Amino acid sequence: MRLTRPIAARWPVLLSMREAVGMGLAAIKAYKLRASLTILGVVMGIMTVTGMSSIVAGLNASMARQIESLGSSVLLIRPAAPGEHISDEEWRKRKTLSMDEVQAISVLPLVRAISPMEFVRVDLIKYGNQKVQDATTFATTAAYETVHDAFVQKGRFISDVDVDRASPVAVLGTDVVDALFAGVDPIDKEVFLDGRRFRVIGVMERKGKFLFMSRDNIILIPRGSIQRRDQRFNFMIADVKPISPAVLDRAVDQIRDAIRRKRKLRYLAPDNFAVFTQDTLTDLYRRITGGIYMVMIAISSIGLVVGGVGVMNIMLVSVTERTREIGVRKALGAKKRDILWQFLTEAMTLTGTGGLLGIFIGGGVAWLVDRFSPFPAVIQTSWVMVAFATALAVGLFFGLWPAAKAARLDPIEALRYE
Amino acid sequence: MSADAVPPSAPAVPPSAPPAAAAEADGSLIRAEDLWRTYVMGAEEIHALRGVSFTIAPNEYVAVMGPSGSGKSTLMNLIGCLDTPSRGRYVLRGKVVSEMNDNELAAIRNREIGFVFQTFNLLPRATALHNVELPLVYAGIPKDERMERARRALAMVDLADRMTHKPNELSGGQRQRVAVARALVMGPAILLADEPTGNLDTVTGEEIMRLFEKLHAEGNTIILVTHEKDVADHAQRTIHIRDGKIESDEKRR
Repeated sequence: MRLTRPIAARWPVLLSMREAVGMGLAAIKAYKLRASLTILGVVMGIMTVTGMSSIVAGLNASMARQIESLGSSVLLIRPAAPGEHISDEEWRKRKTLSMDEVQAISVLPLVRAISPMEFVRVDLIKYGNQKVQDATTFATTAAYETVHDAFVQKGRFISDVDVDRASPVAVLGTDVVDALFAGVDPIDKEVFLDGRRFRVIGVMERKGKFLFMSRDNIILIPRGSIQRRDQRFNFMIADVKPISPAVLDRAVDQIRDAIRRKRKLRYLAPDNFAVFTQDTLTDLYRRITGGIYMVMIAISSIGLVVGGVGVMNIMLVSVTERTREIGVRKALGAKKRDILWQFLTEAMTLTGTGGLLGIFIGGGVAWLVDRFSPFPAVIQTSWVMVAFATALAVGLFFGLWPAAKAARLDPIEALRYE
Repeated sequence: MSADAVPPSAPAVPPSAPPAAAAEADGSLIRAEDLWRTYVMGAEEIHALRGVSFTIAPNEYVAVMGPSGSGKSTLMNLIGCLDTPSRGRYVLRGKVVSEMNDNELAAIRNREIGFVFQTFNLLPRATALHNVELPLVYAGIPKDERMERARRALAMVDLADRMTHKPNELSGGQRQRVAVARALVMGPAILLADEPTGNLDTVTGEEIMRLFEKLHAEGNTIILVTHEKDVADHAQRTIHIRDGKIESDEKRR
């Protein structure tokens, strides 16, 4: 360490820093078991911060991508908003969207297109001998493509004519195509939805996964092409594209008004439906990750406090054991602050070593998670730095009392100490 | 943090050079005037020193003798700037030590006092070189210069070939020589030795005393605290302490 003389004279401790760090490492080496048990808490705490922040950050990044891929400016009309707490009683009162209401929304000035989607329960989809059982079937309209920015990669989408005539045609997601048509062109082939014959007219572009669920395992058919015997089991939702992303919030209000009028809700009665945007999903997600962060901070705090108290203990022992050394140092000209910094540096070396270990282990865990689990993990440099700074701060805080004790020692008594 | 007693720009004294001439008008290096040291034990006051006065000139070789409980150790602590008197005035190289605070005392110990202890008091995990370097660290001297001066100090006590050895790899005599090198490295006003041969056999003890004589001949001022007559006889002057007072102050040669 090269320092100019004035700085060096004012802060001789900077020159002896390396010595103190070395002494801390020597203490770890000399008392391997005691030191490693002591810093274990710090290791755990820092490991938690590094590992969990990496995993959460990875989730955040993939979540942001996925939410964006849903279409940035789409309004969702559902029986309830995500994260909304609804009693069973209330659930029963909620009505699903009717075609009448969809009609009313579609003519609103701020609405560009509305895509009603009726969930149709189909248990078995067959092409020849090939079967698919877990695909989701939606009855929808031509507006689906516009609203969701989802297009066919092959063939054509459902047209208004198909909807008017309730034609038995189907557009398949790529998962369904892969399952039913190995190496066969699916266009114009006939599939059977619970025994009803449908002609394949198109294949959707691959959309990938959302929340670890495939969005390509779907079948889209024209509204009305499968008639429900019991209308009570109709379950319709709708997605809306406003005329521009800028009017998103006003569009929400317009749609709410339209539905409330149709449903003749009284002035103060609450909505018995929900209209919300992607932001609601993002907010919900933030709340969840916020919770994860809280858990992370709680776990690591416990570890750090336990580790910190351990460090305080080992430092107190060290100060007592080295009373004589402190006396010698003072006799040779060490000032109070030199002794203080020596022991603080030593404590910080202990916790810093624990911190580094924690960062390596946590980083390793994150890497393993990223590699071998469906959760993506990205190691966050900022969090790693925060973690390391925290480890040092723990050393500083819990080392303060032992170091002050050392600094306060009377040189005469310290020299006489046996 | 308060300012250092000596400004950082003060030129360092090379270890081999004899101490600079005294600043006191009468040419004394140390001037003690009516030193009292009183300890309060509960309601009782114990006077460890009861008015001690003396002066020591540059390049004197003085032994301080006295039985245990005589106040000899208390006097040594005052001379060594580890403590300040309850009453009286202590001037070292023109600086009034008796009025200094802790930080100033630390700085003066660093620059003006070279301690040699009975039990050597070397840092066990550090090499000889590193032990000698320590006072230079606290003086804020850069690494290269520290190494250079520590090497020279070790060469002066004939330990140039033992620099990288740790205390437990050295003999008792060698350890005490490392301690002497450490005491001299800052070029102090006085070398203050407390029973320097107390933990050594007779032969090795003689070897250390010869080293002290050599250092004295080179111009160092030495104060030797001991209760052994043989050891005190090496000095030119002996101050006897009893019951907190100077009993006698004899010069020889």
